[in-house]
Amino acid sequence: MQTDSTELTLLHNRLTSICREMGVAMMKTAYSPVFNEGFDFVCSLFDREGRMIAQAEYNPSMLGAAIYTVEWMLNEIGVECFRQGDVWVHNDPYRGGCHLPEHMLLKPVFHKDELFGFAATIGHIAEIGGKAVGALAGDATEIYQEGLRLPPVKLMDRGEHAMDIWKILMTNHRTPKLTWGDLHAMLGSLHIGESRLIELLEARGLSRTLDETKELMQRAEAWMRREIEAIPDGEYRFEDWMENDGITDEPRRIKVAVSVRGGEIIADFTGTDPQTRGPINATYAVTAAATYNAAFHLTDPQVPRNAGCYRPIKIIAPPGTLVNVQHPAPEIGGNSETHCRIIGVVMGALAQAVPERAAAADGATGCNFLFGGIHPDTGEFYANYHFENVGWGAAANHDGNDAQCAPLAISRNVPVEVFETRYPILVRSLRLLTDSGGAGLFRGGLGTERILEIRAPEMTVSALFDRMRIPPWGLQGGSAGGTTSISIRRAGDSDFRLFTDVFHTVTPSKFSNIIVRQGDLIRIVSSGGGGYGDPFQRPARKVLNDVLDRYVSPQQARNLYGVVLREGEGTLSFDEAPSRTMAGERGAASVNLKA
Amino acid sequence: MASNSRYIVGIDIGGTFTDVIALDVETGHALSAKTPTTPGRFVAGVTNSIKTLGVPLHEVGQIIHGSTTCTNALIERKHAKTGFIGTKGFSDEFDIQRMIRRWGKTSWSAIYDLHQKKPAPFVRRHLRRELDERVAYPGVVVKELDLDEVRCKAKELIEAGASSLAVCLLWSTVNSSHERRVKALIDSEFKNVYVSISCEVAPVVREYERMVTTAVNASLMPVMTDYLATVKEELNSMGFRGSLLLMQSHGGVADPEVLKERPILTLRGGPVAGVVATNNLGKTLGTKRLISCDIGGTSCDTAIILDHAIPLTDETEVDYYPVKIPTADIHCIGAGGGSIAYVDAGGALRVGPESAGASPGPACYGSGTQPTLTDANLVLGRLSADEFCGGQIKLDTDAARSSLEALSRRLGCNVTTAAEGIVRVAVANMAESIRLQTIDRGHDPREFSLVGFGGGGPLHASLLAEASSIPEVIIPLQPGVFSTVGMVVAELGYRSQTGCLQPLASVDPIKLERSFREMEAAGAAMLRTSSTKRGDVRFSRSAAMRYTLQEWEIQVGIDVGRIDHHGLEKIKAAFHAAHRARYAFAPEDKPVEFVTLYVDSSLPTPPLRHEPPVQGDGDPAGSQKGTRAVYIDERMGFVDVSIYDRVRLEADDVINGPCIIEELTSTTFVQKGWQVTVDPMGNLIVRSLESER
Amino acid sequence: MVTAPVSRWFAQASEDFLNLGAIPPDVPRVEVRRNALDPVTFAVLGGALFSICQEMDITLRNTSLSPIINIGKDFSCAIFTSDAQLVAQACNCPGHVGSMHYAVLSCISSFGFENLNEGDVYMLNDPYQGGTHLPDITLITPVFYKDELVMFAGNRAHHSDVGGSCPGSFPLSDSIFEEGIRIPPVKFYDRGSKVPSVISMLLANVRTPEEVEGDIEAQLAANRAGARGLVRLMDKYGRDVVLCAILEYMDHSERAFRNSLNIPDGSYTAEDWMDGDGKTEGARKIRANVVVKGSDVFVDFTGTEAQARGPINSIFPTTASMVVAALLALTDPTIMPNHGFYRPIHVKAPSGTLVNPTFPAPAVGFPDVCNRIVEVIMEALTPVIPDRVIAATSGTTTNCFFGGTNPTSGQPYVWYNINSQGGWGGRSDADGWHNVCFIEANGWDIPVETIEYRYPWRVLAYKLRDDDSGAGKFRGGKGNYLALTPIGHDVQFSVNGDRAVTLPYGLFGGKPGASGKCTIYHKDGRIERVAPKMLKADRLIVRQDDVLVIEAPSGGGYGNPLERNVDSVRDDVLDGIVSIESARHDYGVVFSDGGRVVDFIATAELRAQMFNAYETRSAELNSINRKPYTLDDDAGH
Repeated sequence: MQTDSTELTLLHNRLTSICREMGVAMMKTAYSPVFNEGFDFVCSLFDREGRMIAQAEYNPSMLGAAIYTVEWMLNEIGVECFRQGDVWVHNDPYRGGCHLPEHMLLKPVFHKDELFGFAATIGHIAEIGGKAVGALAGDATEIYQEGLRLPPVKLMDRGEHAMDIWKILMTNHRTPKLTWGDLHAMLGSLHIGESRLIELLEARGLSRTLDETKELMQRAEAWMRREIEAIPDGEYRFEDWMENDGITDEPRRIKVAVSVRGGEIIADFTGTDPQTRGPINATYAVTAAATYNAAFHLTDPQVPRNAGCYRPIKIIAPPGTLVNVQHPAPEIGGNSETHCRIIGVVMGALAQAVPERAAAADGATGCNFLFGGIHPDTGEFYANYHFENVGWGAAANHDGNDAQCAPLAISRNVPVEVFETRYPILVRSLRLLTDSGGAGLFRGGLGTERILEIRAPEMTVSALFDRMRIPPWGLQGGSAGGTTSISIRRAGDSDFRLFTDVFHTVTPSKFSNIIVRQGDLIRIVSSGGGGYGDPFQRPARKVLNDVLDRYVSPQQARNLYGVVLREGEGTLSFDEAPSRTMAGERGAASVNLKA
Repeated sequence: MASNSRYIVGIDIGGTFTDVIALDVETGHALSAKTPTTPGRFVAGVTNSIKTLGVPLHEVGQIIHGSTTCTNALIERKHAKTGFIGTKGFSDEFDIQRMIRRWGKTSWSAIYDLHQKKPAPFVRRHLRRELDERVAYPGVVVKELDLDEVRCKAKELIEAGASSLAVCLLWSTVNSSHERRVKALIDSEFKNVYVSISCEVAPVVREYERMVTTAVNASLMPVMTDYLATVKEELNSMGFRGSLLLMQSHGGVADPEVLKERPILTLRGGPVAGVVATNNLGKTLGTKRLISCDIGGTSCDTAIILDHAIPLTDETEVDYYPVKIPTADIHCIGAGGGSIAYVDAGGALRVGPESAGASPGPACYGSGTQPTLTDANLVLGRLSADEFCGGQIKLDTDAARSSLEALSRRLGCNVTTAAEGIVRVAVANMAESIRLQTIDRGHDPREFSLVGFGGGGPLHASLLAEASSIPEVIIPLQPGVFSTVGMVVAELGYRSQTGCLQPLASVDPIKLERSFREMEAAGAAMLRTSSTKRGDVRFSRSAAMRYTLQEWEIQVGIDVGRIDHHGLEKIKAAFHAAHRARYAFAPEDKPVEFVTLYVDSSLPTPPLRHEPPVQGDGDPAGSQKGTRAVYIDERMGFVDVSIYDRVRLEADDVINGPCIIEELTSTTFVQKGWQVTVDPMGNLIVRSLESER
Repeated sequence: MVTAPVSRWFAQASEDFLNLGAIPPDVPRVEVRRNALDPVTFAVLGGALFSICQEMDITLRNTSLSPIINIGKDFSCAIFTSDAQLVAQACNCPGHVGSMHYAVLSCISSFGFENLNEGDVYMLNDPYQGGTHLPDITLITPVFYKDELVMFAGNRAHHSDVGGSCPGSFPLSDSIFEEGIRIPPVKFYDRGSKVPSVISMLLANVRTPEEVEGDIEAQLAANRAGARGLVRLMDKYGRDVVLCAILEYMDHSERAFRNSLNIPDGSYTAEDWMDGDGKTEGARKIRANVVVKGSDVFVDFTGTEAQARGPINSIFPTTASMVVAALLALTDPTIMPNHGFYRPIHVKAPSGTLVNPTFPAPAVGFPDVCNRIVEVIMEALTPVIPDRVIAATSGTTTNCFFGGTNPTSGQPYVWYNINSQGGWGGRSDADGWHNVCFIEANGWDIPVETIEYRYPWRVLAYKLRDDDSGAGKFRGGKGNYLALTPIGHDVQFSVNGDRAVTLPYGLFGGKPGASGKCTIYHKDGRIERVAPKMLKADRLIVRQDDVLVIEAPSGGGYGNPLERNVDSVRDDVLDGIVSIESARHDYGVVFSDGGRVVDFIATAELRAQMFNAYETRSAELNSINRKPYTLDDDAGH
């Protein structure tokens, strides 16, 4: 069947805008900041065989996985089980989900009693019970510790609340009111998606629309193939490390060989370390999502995001490894931390093929910081899942962005004012951290420093960080970006110290359920991006501006960029010639990961 | 048949009476008698009772008895001093005893009772030794046996005074080599010491139960040996040339030579005889669903017989010591003629389980003061003060009545009401016991006949049947000594068992078939050691099975011919069905596993033919010997009812209840609404008129 | 969190005494025509009701899958009136049953009585909504007779795992959220059909879904058996007769209790301490004031410490059930426990304390607290009923949980070890039992052969401890010594014990029992004593070929050991229960001939000499020998 291109474009745009509308509805009606401010959700549409036909540009980590989340669930449930008015939910990483907090809600859409497809949303519910407040227990050793796990179950049964399930959810989550609100926001969003789709089907007819969506998928696939064909054939290898798993303080390797052959990419993760006891394991869906994510970064962002564009990308991930974990290992950090690293290694490999499109490593950690307790004002439980922005890697033609959500997501920062109204925390400061961007011809983006003051008699905190010791690598002679840290200054102390020192946690970056008290300060530093190219090639004027803007300190300007600054008459100027001969000193800057 | 083996004699030695029966194998006729038990002098009891029958000993081919020697030795702890040899680290399980508190007066009080008594370890600590050896599942030797150590430990125990040794090593059910080597060494190096090893005595998984069973067996070996030697010697000196056989707890009889090695198999040889007799009666009558109900002085023993098979269990205990041997599944509750009635702290009437026993006995025997079930029956006129036990014991009605007076005052009623209450509560307790075995296991009591025997069975049977919705009661001939019939009709039988802990899915049918064949061969060999020739050995196979992860098994009969894959499927289906029948569900998609395999080997018995009664005309008038005032119920009160003499009843005689039928060994009470018919063999068939309407 | 109505009911016990027999006024009850029953029918029905519970018990035991249920018997079955009063129980765990009617109440109040339908089965495990601790899943079935809800059948079983932060769901939790999946009252069956999402959700959150599913099926079968039995009984005797007998029967138990209480009027107080809560060290006080007034008993826990951060809190229903257990144990244990028995009992337990914690306090470790509640009540009554009380028992089940993956099958497993039970205290007339489950529960141990068949472990020793402790005229029983090693894999391990510091006390001169211990003997020779100050730890790793040794506390002695019968001392020495040294030092019995023969002359002399020394300290020795652990300078962070 030959379909009019214009019609197809119109259909694609319409479907995408339905997804966007779903997203807006969700954002505006949700209760928890990670939703309404953090944007940690996606909205998409599927046909009745479970193929994605459209999505809106929300959280890419979920988007890559959603194709599995829906497909595996339909296989389990059977498409015949869906009835009008049903809404199913599931969050099981071992059934195609990313990690437990991300709940997928799926609503069948019927046109004249015939199933067309599904509206779906995935949202990160901030608190889902489990070992640690906010679910991300940095020292979990099984999935059972990570929160309430939902196999596919009906949340709504022909329009009625399935009360037993709601009661169990409300009982097991620490902040049931937020869960109630967020799930209802998702339900509302699905309702909008469903209504808009029905309107569309009434206008176009069901079978025609199905045919056209099929065509859309084929076109997306063909486009993606063309994009890949533009990458030189070859096999490109790369590896990077997770610095520990939260249980034993040893680094774990992720290894990839990316083959580009014509219009197809095969990412083979054979050689990656075995799955860990701690929670940094990625499920197959996470690894796939991360690979797609990397590939999409290196190809035309215009390629329509439906099931078609995923087809030319294949993933080989040996079961039982860090990138294809087997039940019942923990995996909650696999989606926030390891996901970033997988994107990084695939990009690092492909950077060798298309250096001009590649960028140095980004901060690549969620800096997940979880806290909660009984709010002294309300007497009710509060819990929050907080993440930090990081610096992005510099690329062949521009500096890395400062303080931006790691590439696995596009989540927004929760405003300090929102934060402080909800939680008994005072944000003492939030600023870019000087020198945290990797030096280079193009400088890596800066990470941030945030200092929080605890304003409740006590609070339970947990952390799931990485990049605390192994910094984000630079490319083409650029330096590594700054590392992360989380530290605490107990009330009455004068210094910040690591949690390993104060609370004897096994690792400084991953721990759970530490009790902190009123007046304690917590300092969170996020990582910067790696630099690109020789820093000595960076124009001295730019270095000077960075120093003036306090992105770079005078010491670093001198030591890494070879730019010596002179102070006089209230201004700074630079002295280029003598210092740039110190090139021999730049040591640990470049890609040097095996340290 | 030669005249020197004309009789088979069965002897049942009870607490109060010794019952004896002689079966004339030529005519099939039986003679019976009841003599007082001679405590502590069993041999004399045996010989006395045979003398009472007037049967010349040299004409007796077989004497079969249910020996209480082992049971009494065990209960009185007069068994051999026994040493135990076990695997290093585990012999304290004798003290640990599965840890659960269950020694309270009632099953619910045990969990709260701070003063209950935990039984002493069956083998005390200083008589236990451990070997540094280890076998692991599924049979791997982790640590080799050191024979020097065995020698040394056995020596220590013998020096400490042990005359019997029990050996139970971990996992001997899957690899018995260590145990067998221990036994071989002791047998060859130490004379005059008995040895019992667990893989032979009780090859069942779960070490504590196996340890104790083995130790119990070892402790009884010298007892049994001595007893047999004495009995045989005495009988021989009196001219007995036949063979002596013993009843086993599962209802088969065996040659004592075999039982010398496993005396433990005789532990429940007494009560089972009644079940065997009932089963035999069922075969004769062609009745497939029977409840055997033996009510004696202290207890009421009930068992369910389906399709002519004696129900078996291996969950038996003696004084809280587990005895893992195949035993007839007899439900015993403390409700018998001697059961004491009392008013509890809350003012409720209770009967039993305490019994006045033979001494002091019921108040009406003259020395006791506490009211018992027998006293209640006497006061109600259902027992005759003069005709009790063929007139051998005179009952004192006044004593019975005065014992009831105190009770009735506390209950706030008159003596008659109290007496009637005692009977009803006792009957209700018995009915409860029957319900647990019928309704709760999926059997409908309305399809059963109740066989009432023992001293108190005929007296309560129609009441009990009424309370349990059982429409038919059978009172066999000579109900007071009915158990002895079980002795003479019991088959020579042996139950072999072997552990087979593995999932059905991984069972090789060829190997399974082989295991069964080996057990059959062993069973046959065991039977053929006995001197009798009774025809061909019959085998029946069964297995204890469960769903994987369950811990409690259901026994499933295996009747599939030569076992192949198809046969395995049939076994599985039979298990599902059995599970569903028992527990009302069967998760058929779940894996099933074998735990233990059994083979019952048996040699059939010669037939017993009672002399049929004279054919009558249906009118029992000629048998009536008088009337007596008997309490019927609340509405009717005392009514004069006819008393019949059982020996004078004729076949086809029909009598309507209420009535009393007396005979030498028992009294039958037939409640109103029930009708008695004398069947051609002389059994009383009592049917509910209500159920026929 | 919306407060469940049932917790509002027992929150009343915070301010004032709550009569345990009282029923909330808003619970509807079915009409019963009360006729006078003849004593016989009454007795018959009493037996029949108990038999129904027993049949439930056998069904559940025989068809369930996890050893903690089918061997450990950590479950209980009971039947209730339509207004949630206990009728009869076939109990294994005293802690389960005195508390189970709160689960029935919770179902009634959560769904509304009029919404309970024939064919429904309700499930719950949330301690704050009628449960005990999360591993105990309760199933309640309404029993209908001729279209009318007349009774309930219920049972509660401890599952091998319900998720949460460590295998076996016994973590050192900060809050209930870490302890596993919480099930509010939900319909597991709705008018005869299974609600598929409830079970699938439950199974997705537990480490042992196969066992949990099978065990729940067994629980269902037990309730079915119970319902069947009740209907049969009403068919036979008539609805009114049965319901009437039940009411009579409660009155009967009440009378029986009042008649046999036999404790002088007065006010009696005692305190005892838990070692620590698992999160922070330092003893936690439990205080009980017992007032006997006629045949009523008032137990007031005011003065008990605030609820713990760690999981040693006993929610009100379990606290109440232990008051019931203690009073039954001290009066007449043969009284059939039912709701009538509760009527003379009144309990006050301030909210926010160890014995009546508020949401979201962790509660999984309640059994040890429960046992201490029984002991505190006994201690309080020791001066007035010295013959009925006993010296301290182990005070803990020293529960251990192992989670790992079987190297042979590749399947994950969770093993709940209940074999580490302690000794019981000496009594006024007999020695304490060796190695018996403490009073809160009552299970069988799991045979070593069953352990080795089901789990990739090797048991190296399962025996009595061989230290000398608990000397007395009647000595305490010995605790258990269990040595284990995992085969071919590493295991996650948690332990929840007590009496590691506050020893099981002796009475009237009897010596205290030995403390609980847990030690890991590492393959490399390192010896690690686990949590020596409170024996509570989670997420430890036992590696392949390490040896784990768990020693359960032994019971305290009763009476002056110098008064112990010399023959008994000799027997104990012969059997290695008491060492020759202890015989001399504790009992004043001297042996000659290498320990075989008692030297009676030397013994008489030594005893006289020691007795004099004893006299001078009699004030100290006539009291309870216990010392609370006090917090040193090593407080937690």
